[in-house]
Amino acid sequence: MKRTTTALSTTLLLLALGGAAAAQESAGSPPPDGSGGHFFVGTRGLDNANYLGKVSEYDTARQGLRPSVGTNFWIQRGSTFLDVNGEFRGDARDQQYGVDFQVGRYLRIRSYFVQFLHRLDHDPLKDFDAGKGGPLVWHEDHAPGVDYLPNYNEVTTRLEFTVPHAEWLRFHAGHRSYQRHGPVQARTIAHCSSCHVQAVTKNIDQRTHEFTGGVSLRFHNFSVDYEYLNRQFNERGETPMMLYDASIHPVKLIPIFGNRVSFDDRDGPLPFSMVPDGRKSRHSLRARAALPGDAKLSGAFTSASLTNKFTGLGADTWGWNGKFTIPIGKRLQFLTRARQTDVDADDVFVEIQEPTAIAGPHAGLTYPEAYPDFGSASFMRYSVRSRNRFSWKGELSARLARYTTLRGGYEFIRLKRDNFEIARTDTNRLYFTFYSRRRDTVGGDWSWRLRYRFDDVNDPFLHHKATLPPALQPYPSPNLSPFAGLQYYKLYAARQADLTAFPTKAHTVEPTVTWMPSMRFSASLHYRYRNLKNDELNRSEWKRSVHLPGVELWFAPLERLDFTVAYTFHNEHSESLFGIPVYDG
Amino acid sequence: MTRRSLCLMWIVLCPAAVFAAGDGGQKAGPAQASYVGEEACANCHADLAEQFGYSMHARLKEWEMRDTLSKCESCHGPGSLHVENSGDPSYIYNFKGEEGREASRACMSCHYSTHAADWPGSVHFMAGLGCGDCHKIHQSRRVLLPSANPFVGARGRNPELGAVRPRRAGPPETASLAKPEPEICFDCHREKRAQINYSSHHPIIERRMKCSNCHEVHGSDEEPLLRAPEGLNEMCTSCHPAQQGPFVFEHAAVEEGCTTCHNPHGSVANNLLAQNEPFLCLQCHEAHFHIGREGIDTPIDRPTGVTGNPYGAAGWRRAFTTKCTSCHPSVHGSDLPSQGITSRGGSLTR
Amino acid sequence: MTAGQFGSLSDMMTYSVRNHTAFIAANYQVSERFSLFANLVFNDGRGSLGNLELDPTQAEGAPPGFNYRDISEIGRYSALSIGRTQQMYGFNWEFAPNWVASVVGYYANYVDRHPWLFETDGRTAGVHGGISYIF
Repeated sequence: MKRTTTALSTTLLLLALGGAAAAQESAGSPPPDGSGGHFFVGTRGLDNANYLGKVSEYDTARQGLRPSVGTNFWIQRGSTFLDVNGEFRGDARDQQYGVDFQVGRYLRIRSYFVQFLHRLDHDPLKDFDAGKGGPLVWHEDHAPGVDYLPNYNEVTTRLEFTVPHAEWLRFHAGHRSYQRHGPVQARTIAHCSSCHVQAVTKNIDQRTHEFTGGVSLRFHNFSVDYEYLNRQFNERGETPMMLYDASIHPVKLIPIFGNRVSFDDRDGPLPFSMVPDGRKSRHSLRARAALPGDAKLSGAFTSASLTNKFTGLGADTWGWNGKFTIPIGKRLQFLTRARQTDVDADDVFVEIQEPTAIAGPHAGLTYPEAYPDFGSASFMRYSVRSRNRFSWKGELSARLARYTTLRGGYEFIRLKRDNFEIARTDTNRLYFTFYSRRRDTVGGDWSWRLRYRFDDVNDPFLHHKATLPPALQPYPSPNLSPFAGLQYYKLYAARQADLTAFPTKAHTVEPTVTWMPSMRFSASLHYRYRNLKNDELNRSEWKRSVHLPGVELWFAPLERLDFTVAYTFHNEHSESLFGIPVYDG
Repeated sequence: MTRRSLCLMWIVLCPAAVFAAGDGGQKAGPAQASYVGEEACANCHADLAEQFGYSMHARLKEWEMRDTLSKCESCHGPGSLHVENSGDPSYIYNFKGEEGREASRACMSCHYSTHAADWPGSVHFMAGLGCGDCHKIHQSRRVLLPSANPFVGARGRNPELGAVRPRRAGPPETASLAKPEPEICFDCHREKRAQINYSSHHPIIERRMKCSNCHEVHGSDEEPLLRAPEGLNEMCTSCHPAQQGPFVFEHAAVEEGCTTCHNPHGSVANNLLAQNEPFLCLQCHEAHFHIGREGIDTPIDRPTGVTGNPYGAAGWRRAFTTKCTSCHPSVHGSDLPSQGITSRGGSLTR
Repeated sequence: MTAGQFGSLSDMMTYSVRNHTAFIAANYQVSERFSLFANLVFNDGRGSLGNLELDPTQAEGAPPGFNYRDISEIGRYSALSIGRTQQMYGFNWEFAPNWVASVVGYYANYVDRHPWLFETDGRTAGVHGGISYIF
């Protein structure tokens, strides 16, 4: 094994070293030497007022005058090319640079750096302020007035190396590093019997390092690409801690019960708003072959593994897809594609120390022991991420005339969920697109496009038994006290109505027409209409309609003067069942 | 490196020699024509030749060429008849009037791996688009191509550069696009121009992101043309890894796809939410029973000593119907159990 | 009916999103050495949960201290009405061979007509100018 590895590595190294300096002649005329570009020096002055989080969401927007420099230059010497660009916008948190360096067509290095702010909201929690003499809804913002301006920066570098004298072989390697750091708001709530919402400032320092490496083999009729990706995500910022309030009786307002909510102040300060570190690796293999008759066959295989480093939970993904396309005659093009993705995520048993009541008729008993018809609480959590998705598509594109294409197809998608009430969702999709251009006519140039898509979905995702049905269901309490009656689990068990935001039927229509009577004027009308409906819910119907009409005009009254005017209107209307239990806990 | 992977590598590499030779590229133009060389082309097309001289295609090496070392004729076909007939365009392959498969043929003879491998059969390909509909092969850093809009330049209308229009710096070489992103995409996807200007948006108009950061326009396995070999969520979490999980306490709607709740192109509501809370959540969840409770109208003392109750009788209703994620901030999933017995820790409040 | 727990109330709720977005751009190459440009974007976005109409008579005998009639008002709490403007005006002037002066005036305004959590009105106005050397 070691000998084989050494032989292979040596071979590759010799190829690389031996060929790097032996640049072949350029094809045809050698490229001329040259350079160009610009340097910019200036200043930027801003006058800001009020809240900047929306008006300058991604801008540092520093008040006053700041320097600003920028450059964009390139140099070509034979087959060596260097391109550099950069901008500094007067604030170290807002800059962007890029470089592209090519040597003799064998080596290319590209690197890119960007840094910018993202202003986030500071929820003042002021809506949490109510009371009824006993139970309260109240809030504490432990960092009032703090601006939440995390910074985002990213460096991406990619290297491509073509092996001299074996130019069918190309290696690439890349590194991407990005970071989010700065203050954000972290919130949590303690309840029973008051709802106490609290917010603190959490200083995040999230760093991701992503390494890729791969090889491409290119032959005349065949190519293979392989890439390996490894991504490490770490949250270096501290996880905030909170002391959750004592659980108290809602009327007597004293802690006469045990911990009715699984944890409270008796467990000491507890972490919240925690971001787990993660690790991901992925292998991707793709191959493509040109076949006789101008047909193309391509396929890909992906295998990935994602791990939550805090819990050790993982999700493995593997998938494949294959595509075949072939022209039929001069005017038709046929495409078929199949794809499958399988996700297998870990299930987990959540170890819980079930609290027991400390007083009253159920002293010493857990909740299921006190209410036998609650059933045994299952703390095994089966991941809803585990699933299998298969799709197949067939499509035909016909060139009806010059610049006129009609494309239509059918796609079937089957989604199987391993651990969810809706175990399987099937989608049947029909679509067509008509596109036509007419040029050099008396009336000017016209182009039309019409796209239509219809989705018929069986058993889409929904929340099963999400709410009580519209019909009133009285549950008289055993006595007149509202707090000695129906228990939570009986209320939840009485839910029957399903709720969803997914359609069973979806229509999408998009017509577009553009008219260009001359080189100085063009007008375009476009419309996008979507109608989505789920009329298979057991107790209601969900609907959504979207209208997006728009017009665009471009006009050049003079050769050196042009105007563009565009307007788009978006009207979206949704309907869904609202349900509320008439209940008092 | 395991033995199995080593063997696999050699299995792939060895047959490579069989295919390495190839039989040349596509034939274009009349069959009787012969190659005349780039200098002949430059005699008449001096402007194009000057621009092209500084482009990436001008730096091609012998090993990248097929039937000829003349870069012009490797795409346009042999030009002897075109020259002999005083530049008659019918004697040369000029791409004008070509569409779809035919328009892409010359490019695909070289660009058929990595990101271009999925071009045949992709949505844009099947719609009849060719490479030349977006890319301008002759343009380079050297000289701007004349266009109807003289202000389309290195970065389009970039206010941060003061709208500088360097006369000798063309668009970046990476894609040699006819227009910069996202303007080139808006030529067909017009409604997206409006959406990226909604109050909540990705930083596209601020030029920190482009359409191609998420979309692989040449073709992809994941609709709509996403850079997502594993699926939609994997693509989103490649930039938002804090939400990648997998979590102990999951939110099933998240696993269906980020677009269950978010509209990545733009939205009126915060955080790219398709609809504002609480409606977004109430589509799948019932309302808290607390909102039926009526509060008192008098000021209330808080445990901290602060007096409050500004909303009076409507306070309870308001608290539970304004913003769900004020109390349920871990809406993407959490490893920490929330309070509550019946939810078994899955309320996502912590 | 005995005081205590009851069933449910429900109604179909609606959510409406409306956006008006307008663009105006102008470019004028006044001469070989001088050019002007202007870009304006206007966006008016609204989102609102439609008023619910629950039938409070269905909750007769509800525990004291409950009011289901006024739940119809909850749409007000999360309604959004936002107006945005972004304007840029500028010129480029090649005052000497290979030397270009450029100035861009910038104005952006965000008007929060119906604050949700807090008022988010804001404005920023500025000028960005400098000299470029082109080679």
